[in-house]
Amino acid sequence: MDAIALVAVGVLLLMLVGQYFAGMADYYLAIENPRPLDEHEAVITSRWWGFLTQTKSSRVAELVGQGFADIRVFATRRQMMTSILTCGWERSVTVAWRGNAGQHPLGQA
Amino acid sequence: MPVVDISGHPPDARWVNYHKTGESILSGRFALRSAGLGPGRDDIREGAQATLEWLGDAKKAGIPVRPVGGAWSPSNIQTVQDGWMLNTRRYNRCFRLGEDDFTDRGTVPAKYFLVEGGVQIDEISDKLESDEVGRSLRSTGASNGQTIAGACATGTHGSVLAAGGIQDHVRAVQIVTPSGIHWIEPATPLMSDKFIAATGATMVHRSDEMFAAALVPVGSLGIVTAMVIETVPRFYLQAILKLIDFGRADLQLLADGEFRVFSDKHGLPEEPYFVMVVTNPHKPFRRKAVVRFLYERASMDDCKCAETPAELGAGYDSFTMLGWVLHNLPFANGFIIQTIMRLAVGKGIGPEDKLIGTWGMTTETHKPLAKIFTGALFCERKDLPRLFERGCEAFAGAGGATAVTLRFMKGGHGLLAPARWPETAGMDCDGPDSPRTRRAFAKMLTAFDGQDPIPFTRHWGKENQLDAARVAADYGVDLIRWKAVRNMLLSPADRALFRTQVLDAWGLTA
Repeated sequence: MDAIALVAVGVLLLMLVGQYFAGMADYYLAIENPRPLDEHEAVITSRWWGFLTQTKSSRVAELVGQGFADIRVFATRRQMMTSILTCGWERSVTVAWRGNAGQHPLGQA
Repeated sequence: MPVVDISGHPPDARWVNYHKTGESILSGRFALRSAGLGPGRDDIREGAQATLEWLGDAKKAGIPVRPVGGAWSPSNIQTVQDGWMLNTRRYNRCFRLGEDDFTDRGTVPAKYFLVEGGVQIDEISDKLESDEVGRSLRSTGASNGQTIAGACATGTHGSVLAAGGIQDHVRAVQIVTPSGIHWIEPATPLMSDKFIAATGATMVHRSDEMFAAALVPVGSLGIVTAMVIETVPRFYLQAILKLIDFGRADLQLLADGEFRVFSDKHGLPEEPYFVMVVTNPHKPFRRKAVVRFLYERASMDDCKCAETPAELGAGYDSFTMLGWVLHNLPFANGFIIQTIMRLAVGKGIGPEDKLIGTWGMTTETHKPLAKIFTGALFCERKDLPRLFERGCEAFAGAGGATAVTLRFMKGGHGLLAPARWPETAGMDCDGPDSPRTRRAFAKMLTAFDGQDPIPFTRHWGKENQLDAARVAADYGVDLIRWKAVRNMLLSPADRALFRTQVLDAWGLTA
């Protein structure tokens, strides 16, 4: 019985460790031929297991008119640890994005 | 108005460079943008005049300035504290030139292009390599996210055997300083006076000495707003990528410039256009190395066109992803680096794949997923065996955890070009950043200066641990000549405007 309990605890621990590492993965999406400007970051926090999700403030980006070059979503070690310790009650992710510098046709000098 | 105040926009006062190796706490952020005017000379005149006014405002306020393009350099050459930053990435247009724009009416205008300082290398390649234009850059760095002005400022190199650094494409430069808009080209005139005046330049310098200084300005001669570049007809490259057993005899072949023999042994039986060898510094001759060859092709007949740069073997800087593992398991570094190299190569690219692409397709704009370490050294090619063996011993012995990449090139033009020997070899340490790797890199640099010193230079844009004494020793008379040109372009008060901690430490602002 003890052995079964130990195995079960071990599996649960492995699941937690796996969630911790997988939660820090980078999810990256880019347009074809991105022409990136400076990177900006925002933290989006979900509480009550997703019933309440918000950023701390709204953002006015400098990329108006050009759109996104790329977007990256990831959690930091601290964000993942907070999520695990709070049993998922608080789950934050960082969204990093870069504006597109624009694509101009070849002109005449 | 091409210069726009973006101080209120994120990331606000705290700005971090592309590879997150340095930050600036700024008192103002500005963006230089194309005004969308045509013809191109009007757009460049508008941008240069706006930059001139902006520099005047900064000078009046006594605030240091720093232009930034791709923000690519991990050496933090683009950071400034309590200063104004000018982001040039939206000043990114390219233009064809006409016969009348040149002094010599016999010049073939199709070879030349006028580019704005903020245009990214990848953007230039995309435009040049279109079917409509059919031109190409001859060589660039492996990554293409830098702006043309930034890449030239640091003398960025590739591994094309018959070409030098990227600045070798440049035939004329427009630089803005607080005193005016300068047009610099060699003593033999290229562009017509009428064209130069139309770009807003009021001071024309036709001088080989000034041109040689302006080719690699190291961010210290003013703000580069435009360039005329010379290109070559579009060509294609067939890629070979594979793991090889790399021995001392191979290293000697490379040092002797026997690239054809090296290619016969490990690639195709023909002269390669590009050769790069990625080695494992932990027992480099007992572990596998990755070799990448590119062979020039006139057409794409019988070949499969690569759809992504990665298919041609680009993106090898994926080594950066396991930083913390390497840092925390130093005893296993050799094994881990080898495993990463095997995974990165996969099944490789063989002759039977007949995978082909343009030069631009062989490079890639990578997205850093980890804090990277990247350092690059240059030496005369014949000294490579000593540099490599001594370097690997010191670097690996101190726990350095990056691959060591060997590249080969001609000496680049420009007084401060770090690839400065007629036959130059480059040795890059690219991988995940960690304090241990930084210490190991420093130890390696010290080892080269020890008994039986090996002459070498360091990349301006990468981790280099340079100081003023070392810069003076590396560049000698060329540095004195470069400073003489700088003093012609910038008065002491104007020089103060371009001071930063990094440039001060290198002795380039004094």
